[in-house]
Amino acid sequence: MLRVKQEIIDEIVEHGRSEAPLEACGYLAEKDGVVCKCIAMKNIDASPVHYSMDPAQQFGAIRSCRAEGLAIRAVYHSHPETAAHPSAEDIKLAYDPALSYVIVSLEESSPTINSFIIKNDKVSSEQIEIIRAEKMTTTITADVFQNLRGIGCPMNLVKTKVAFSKMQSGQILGLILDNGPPINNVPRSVIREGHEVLSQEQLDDGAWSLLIRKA
Amino acid sequence: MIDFTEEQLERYSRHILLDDVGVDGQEKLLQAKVLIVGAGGLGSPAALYLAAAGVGTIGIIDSDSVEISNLQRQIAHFTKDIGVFKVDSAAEKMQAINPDITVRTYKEYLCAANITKIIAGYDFIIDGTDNFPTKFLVNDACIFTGIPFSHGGILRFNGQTMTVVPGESACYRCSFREAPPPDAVPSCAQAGVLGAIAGMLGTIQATEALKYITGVGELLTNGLLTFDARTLTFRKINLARQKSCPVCGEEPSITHLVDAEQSVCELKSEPVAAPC
Amino acid sequence: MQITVNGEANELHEAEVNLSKLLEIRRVESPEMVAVQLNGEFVDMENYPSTFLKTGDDIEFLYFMGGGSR
Ligand SMILES: [Zn+2]
Repeated sequence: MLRVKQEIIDEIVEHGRSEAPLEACGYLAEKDGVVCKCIAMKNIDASPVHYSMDPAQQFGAIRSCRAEGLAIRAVYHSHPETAAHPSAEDIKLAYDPALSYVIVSLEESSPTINSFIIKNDKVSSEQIEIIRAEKMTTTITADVFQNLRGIGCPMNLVKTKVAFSKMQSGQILGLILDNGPPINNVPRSVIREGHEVLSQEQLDDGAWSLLIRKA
Repeated sequence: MIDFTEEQLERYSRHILLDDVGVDGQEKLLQAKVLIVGAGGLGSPAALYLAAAGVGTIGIIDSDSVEISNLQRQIAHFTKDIGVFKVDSAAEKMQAINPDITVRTYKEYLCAANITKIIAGYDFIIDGTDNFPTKFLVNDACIFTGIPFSHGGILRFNGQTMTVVPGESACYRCSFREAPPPDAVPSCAQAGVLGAIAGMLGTIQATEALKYITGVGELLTNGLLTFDARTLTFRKINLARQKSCPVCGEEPSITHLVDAEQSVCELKSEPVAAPC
Repeated sequence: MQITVNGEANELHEAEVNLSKLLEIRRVESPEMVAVQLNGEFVDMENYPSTFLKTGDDIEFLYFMGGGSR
């Protein structure tokens, strides 16, 4: 199992795209079992179908990782035009059985990332667990929750006010608001009435999740 | 605490959105009881707005029926209502605007004998009566029972209104003492009145009732608001409680309710001609 | 003599003016339909002749105004 922070995944994809149509390559370094650093390396082959790292840059990267208390966990590279599977070349040149080999495919519009363990020319696939940034809101729980998805202005504010009217001062209201006018207007109005918006974050579907402390 | 239905939340959303009214204010309105004296020029707009606002119980008292000459300013009544009791006509419109509320109708002429019983239990009274004896009767009964009320009057292009909180602010008698002699009083039939000023004044009175119930802002107490529609000038004349007031002063000469000479309590079916 | 009537500054040229005279000057046609307040105090109609004005007085004519039922 390869545990990788979400932002590292994003960096790998970004690096791959910036080098395309050439292959991009680099190291992934971990701390406490989670990959938390992406070290972009130069592909001295400058080829769209294979890569080689510069040995001098490799040693430099390994040294600076040690200095930071990190350990090299994996090698990654991109496949600009093909699937996220090791090529014959990749298998042949995977010298370090202690490392995982991560391949990002940019073949489709949404990239695919896979990890492999390659030992004695034998390839086995490795599961990747993506670690999302820890949410500051996870420690606070709402006393009352209102899902106002699909409720436009001003009824969303009306319902928010009704919810507050049934709460004690200091209690926390959890709200889901649609993107657009609802998120632009409701927080402003509740702040004007003296309530405190503790957090506000966008969800995958574009709606917003808020925690508000009643004044 | 009231659990608002979805329909109520939408109906009253513009009140709930107001910071100073909000959920609590709307709840107070739904639980409030307001009596409107007179279903005419002032009572019509007041009744419609209070019904729309969701004032939970609205009483309306008037012994007259709708006449065609009323329709120029008494906007609760329609041409089809000619000959119908004004309170029935008004109640129909109020319920049509808002089926959520209770309307109590009184087809009676307010007089010393019935006023205390009728006003008991109401939180606020809107005086939209057409004659001075009844205006003074409403004032005195409210002072005795401690019920706040809004006085209103219109003539030609002018209007006046004041809000009285018994025991706290100047009353109608503090400034006006007693009803003018009937022969000096010009009636609407003679003097005329610009219809829309009934709406200007009646809506101010309704606003005062809503403010009193919700506690928003400052009431029009210790002040007489007057306006002249020809120049659209508004003036607020400061009034103060008078120690010499015959009903709320230090040595009141009026200690119980009596009908003024020109009162028509006995003549229930045909009230005497009165102004406006 | 400088007085204020219904919120407006007024210059009176007569030396001695009582409330009855002021109502006349202001062309108040039916004094029965007016209540008079002098410097914030109600003045009884029977005291109009004996109430003489002085500079700085603030007079309000409060007109009786009816309702709108009939
Ligand atoms: Zn008084």
